[in-house]
Amino acid sequence: MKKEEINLGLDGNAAIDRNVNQGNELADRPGESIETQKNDPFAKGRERLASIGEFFSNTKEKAVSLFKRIGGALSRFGSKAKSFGVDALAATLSADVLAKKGYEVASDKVGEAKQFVGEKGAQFSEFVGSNYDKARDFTQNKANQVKEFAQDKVEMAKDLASYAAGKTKEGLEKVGNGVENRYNKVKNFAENAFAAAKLEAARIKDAYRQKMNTIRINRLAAEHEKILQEEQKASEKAEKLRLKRESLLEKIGLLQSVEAAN
Amino acid sequence: MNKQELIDKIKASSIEAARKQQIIDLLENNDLTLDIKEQVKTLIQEDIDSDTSVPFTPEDYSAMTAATEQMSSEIANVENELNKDMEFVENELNDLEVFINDADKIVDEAQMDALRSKIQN
Repeated sequence: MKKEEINLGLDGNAAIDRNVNQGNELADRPGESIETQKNDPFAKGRERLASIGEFFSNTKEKAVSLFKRIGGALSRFGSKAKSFGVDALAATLSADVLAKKGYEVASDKVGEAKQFVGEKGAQFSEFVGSNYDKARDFTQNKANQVKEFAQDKVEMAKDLASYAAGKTKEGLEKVGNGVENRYNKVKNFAENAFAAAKLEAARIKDAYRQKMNTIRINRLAAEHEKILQEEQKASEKAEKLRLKRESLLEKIGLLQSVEAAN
Repeated sequence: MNKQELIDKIKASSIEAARKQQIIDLLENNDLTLDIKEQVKTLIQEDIDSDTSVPFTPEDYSAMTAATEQMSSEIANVENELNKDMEFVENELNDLEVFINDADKIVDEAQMDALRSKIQN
């Protein structure tokens, strides 16, 4: 019995030979590298999956830098507003209010409020983008958030105009809170968008791996079935050979018997 | 299944030794975040793909090409969508910066007013 009749598909060489024979068929498919497919049909997909990782890394880097820049502006604004608060109070409040106790209370209040904005500004510089629980319904809520941003802008413009007109401590606090609130919202939006995109990419990757592995497992199952059938054929063939051999031996024996017969 | 159980399962698997160690190191030195899970999955998939003896047929290659194209297109959609979102974020932050600068100027004006008031008093 010839080796290939039994071993077809069992060893790597058989598979490679078969793939080599497919070369002409692959050459007819435009836009695909025969070598890539023949040697590593998964290379292209792997390359694409690696590129999304790089994309996320670059996007995050850009976001971190952006939030740091605006966070810095926010911190500077907070510090300035804080120092102004004390100076302005000292300069503008009446003598009664400038009595020790009153001055302390008032300046502390302004200080607390502005320190709060300043500290938040520093904290905001950290862009995380990995809160996946919050990101899950990001896509559904996106339109509402965008609408909210537009409404916030209108409110903030009103607050700024009001502060510009009165220049009161309360007005400044309102502006500061508005800035903090908007910064927070934009940061949440960015982080959720980023995390949602990563979740979606992970889902796509899983689906892709599943498809590719299904093709692989189906091919292996088909090959296994084929080998089983070939083995069945081989064993039938072997049985025929055995019978032939026995028959031959019997006939040889007969010839010998004939010869030996007197 | 907890992380240790996963590590034990990986240890007992037929994954190629060097790759197996890489996965174990990843798991032992990190929390099971989405990123770490993705890295582990990528390594396991690489191990699967490293078996080049599977005699894929032309039909298999076509199906694999189609799956890869679909995946590429879906990933491109994710990239485009995130690019749009981040562009929106950038615009919002730029607007916010302008707003902060405007508020900053008013604080300056208020400070000047306060100083004037101090001088007059």
